[in-house]
Amino acid sequence: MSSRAAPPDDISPESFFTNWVPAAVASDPSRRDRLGASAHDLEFTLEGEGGGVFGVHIADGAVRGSVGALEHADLRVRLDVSTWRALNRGELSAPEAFLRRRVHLRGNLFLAVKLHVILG
Amino acid sequence: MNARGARPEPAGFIAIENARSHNLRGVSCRIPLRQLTAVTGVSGSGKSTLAFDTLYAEGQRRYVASLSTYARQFLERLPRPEVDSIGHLPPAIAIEQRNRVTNARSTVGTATEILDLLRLLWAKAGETRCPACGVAAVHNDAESVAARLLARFDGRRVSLGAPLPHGPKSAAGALRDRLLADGWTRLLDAKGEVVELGELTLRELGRRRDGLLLLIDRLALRGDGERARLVESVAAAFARGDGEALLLAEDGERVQLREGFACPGCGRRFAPPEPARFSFNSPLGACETCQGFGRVAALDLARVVPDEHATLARGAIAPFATPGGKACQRDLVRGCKAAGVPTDVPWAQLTDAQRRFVVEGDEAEGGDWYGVRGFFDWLEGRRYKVQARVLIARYRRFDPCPACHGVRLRADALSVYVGGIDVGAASRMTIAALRAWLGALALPPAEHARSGRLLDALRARVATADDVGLGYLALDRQMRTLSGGEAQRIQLASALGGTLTAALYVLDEPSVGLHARDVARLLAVLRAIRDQGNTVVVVEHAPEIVAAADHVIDLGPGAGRLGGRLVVEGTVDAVRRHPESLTGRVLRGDFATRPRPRRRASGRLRVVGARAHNLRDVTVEIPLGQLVCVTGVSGAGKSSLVRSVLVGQLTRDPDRGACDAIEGAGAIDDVIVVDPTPPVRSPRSNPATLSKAFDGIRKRFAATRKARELGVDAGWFSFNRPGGRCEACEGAGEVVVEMHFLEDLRVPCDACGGSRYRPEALRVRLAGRSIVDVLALTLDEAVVAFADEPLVVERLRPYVRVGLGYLTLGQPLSTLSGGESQRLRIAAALADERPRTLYVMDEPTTGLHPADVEVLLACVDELLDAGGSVVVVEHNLDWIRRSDWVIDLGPDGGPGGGRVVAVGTPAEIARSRDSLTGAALRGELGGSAR
Repeated sequence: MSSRAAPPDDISPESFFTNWVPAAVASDPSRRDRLGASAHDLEFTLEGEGGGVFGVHIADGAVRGSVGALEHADLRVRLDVSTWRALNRGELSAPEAFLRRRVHLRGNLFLAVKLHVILG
Repeated sequence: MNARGARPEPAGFIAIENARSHNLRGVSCRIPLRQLTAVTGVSGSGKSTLAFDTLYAEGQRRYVASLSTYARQFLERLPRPEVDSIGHLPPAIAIEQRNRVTNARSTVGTATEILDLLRLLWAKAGETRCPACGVAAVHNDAESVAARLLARFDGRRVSLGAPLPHGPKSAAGALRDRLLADGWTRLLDAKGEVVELGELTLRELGRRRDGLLLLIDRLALRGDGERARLVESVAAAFARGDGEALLLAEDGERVQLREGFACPGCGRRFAPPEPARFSFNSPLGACETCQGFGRVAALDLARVVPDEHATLARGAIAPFATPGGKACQRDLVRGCKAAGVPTDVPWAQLTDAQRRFVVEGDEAEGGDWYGVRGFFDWLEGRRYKVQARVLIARYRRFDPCPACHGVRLRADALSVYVGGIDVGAASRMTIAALRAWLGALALPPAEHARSGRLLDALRARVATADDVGLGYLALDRQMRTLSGGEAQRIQLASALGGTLTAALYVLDEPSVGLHARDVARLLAVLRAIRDQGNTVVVVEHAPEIVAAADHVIDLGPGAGRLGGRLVVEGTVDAVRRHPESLTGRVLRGDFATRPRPRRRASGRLRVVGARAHNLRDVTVEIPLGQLVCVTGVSGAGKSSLVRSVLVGQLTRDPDRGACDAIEGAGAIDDVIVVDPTPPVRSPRSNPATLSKAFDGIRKRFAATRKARELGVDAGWFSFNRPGGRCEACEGAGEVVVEMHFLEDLRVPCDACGGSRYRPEALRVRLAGRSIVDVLALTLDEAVVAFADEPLVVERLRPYVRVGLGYLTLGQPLSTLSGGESQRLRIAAALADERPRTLYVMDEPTTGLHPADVEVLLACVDELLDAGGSVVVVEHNLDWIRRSDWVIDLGPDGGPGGGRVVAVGTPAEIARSRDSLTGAALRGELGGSAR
């Protein structure tokens, strides 16, 4: 139902976190507004073939992506690559994925509530 | 009805500018006057908010504002909707899909006002017949009586007498003195012999006064010459005899005469027919035994002694086996010991006399035991206490009234006939049967002259009720037993029965509960209301209704926060062409439905010989572990089979519906009925409190360091009890300012600013959020934010699963739409999913957009995956088509239904030539899109 652009189907996780997410937030004033002035570091672990560990750094209404584990993260999110792709395509909603235990969270869970502002 | 092309051009538009109530986000749209407009969108998109909380609320508010300040104080005042302006708004009438009637006196006949017209017809055109003689009663005054006597006794000598007033023998002297003083000197004895008053001793007069008549006159009747004298004598006789007189002819023939409306044969008097005498809601017409309810309460011994194998000492008498009944139990045991009734023998083995002793007691014989009945009689005297009323209700049953046999009227009312039937028989007819009877009714010319227009009005009203699909309902059916859809169609029939023009009718899903066959008839009625010059706005999901609308307003695109915007408005074609409208996709027929593989049955229930209501000895198998649809036209017996018989028998409440047996019930441990009625609508209830997820949230707040410093527990964070809540508004967040003849003003509480909590409570933070911040989370957000609190996640899970994740935790339930309310109930059933459970749902697709139906079907599959079985009463063809098994009842409604027409898979039903549901599945009834 969202009118926001979805990432390409064949996007790699690295490209998604380091390029697509920062660009999507930068081009959408409403997303920047909702992020506000908060500063947080989030770590995403994508399990399975083609996966990896990525960081998302939020500060001053902007988002930056990185590759590799973070020493300190306010929120750590773990999911498999197929779940990540299903979420990107809109085949699976985030609450649904969470309730089906396909997404695991650790840390400041209230930050997870804002994930849709960053991711899609 | 006019042809559509012949209707005048629309006079203009209702223009809504920037509507913002609830989740509407500045909706501006136009509703053409004198046209049929459908408001569409997914459940929770804001349809009802636009139609009812904005359009109707403003129309009603303006109407009320136009009344005097005196009149305004008696009317319901609706809040002013949040909208910039609404132009050209006609007076508004809302026809909601909610049955608000709880009164046992309200019936289909009274609600449709058909009974009012029937009462008038019986009063104006009815013929009163003496039940003993079978002849018509006539009006007797001195003039008419004299005329009949002259005709009957012409040429004969007659004596006219009046009975002496009753009184004790000792008063004979006073009687003689009074008669002599008035100039009466002669009496008549039983043989017609004249007795001189002056010749009777006082003892004889006292002894014989009941057999004597006061001789008024003796005369020979010879044509009209004696008319004046006879009239005078009859009048005198009635005056002396308190309306009674006796005529004795010289040949011994005698005629009892009575003044007033009476039988000419036996003289029995009848009250003159008047409308109130045919009303069970009037003291003049209501049966004196049951006060017009048609049934009387009695002690239900089966409930008092639920287990016949229990002994008196071991609590056989259920009301005494509770902590509150200990004293009575002691009295019972003491009384039994004194009377020699064993208390250690099962109730089933006690003799009739012993049981009678227990129930009736022995106080009448001088004993001390007041009996179970005496206990309930004592309770009756304490009905002012709630506990007493609850206890009485628990052990009470209702039997048909022995006096009126359920007709509710006095016997006199049933002596009046129109067309050979009494008003009781007419009020037991179904609307369709009454329509046929009225169509064939031919009144005699005199009655027709008096009642012709009345009869026309009655025929028109009955025809309208039949046309809106209510033909199967009997007039004496209680309103409180009807579904919301049926109650709405009754209001619709009343609206059409009137001749109001230039009004705005706002209807909430009028197609609910209608078989595809009846939707076309409903459309004709909506168009008829429109063609009377009214503007009709329907909140609707049924594609047949939407496709037939003159104008469509599609809201969305999603629900809650994701909805509340105008997606498209215009003609049906404009909506059909719109690329982003879900309704457009449904109208185009390219709404992809999820294929649903058929499930195999895990067992079977067999209902044998079901006979509730109109069911005719129905025997049918219900597969377990499958989605089973019970279908049929309205009144076919679907709810009777499922709700009354199946649920009644399985929940050990056999009074709800009788059958010979339910075979295979051992495979079911529990039955859960998902009721279509909305859950609690208190503004203090919200998804957090309803789901009990608030318990876990409050527990988490209570575990914070700040809460521990304050020394508060989880209960302190409730806004429903003293503690952390704002006491100025008692946790409501707003205060109501009574404005008397102006609408009540609701303003945010000064003390808490609308937050509901005291500042101390708001200072307690969980991950930086206060309790108010948390209540503003959607359910989707809450399951993530409280991922480590199973008490929250598990309780919210079913609500997210049924697609209500967009609601906020703190959204008052009173603001939810009908579709949302029903999904809350389904979520509650999901929360309790268990194997070997039978889930029974009554039209679960009510209020749901086809997109929401998909979500619901997925939930049903979850229940089946968990080992449950689902039986659904449903009209939605898409749902029926995708069910595993269909039981089609009918073929028609009311007396024409109650049989199994077809059973099988949806494909097999579609092949059945006898089944109307089959025809609809084949698309022959124009319902294929639904």
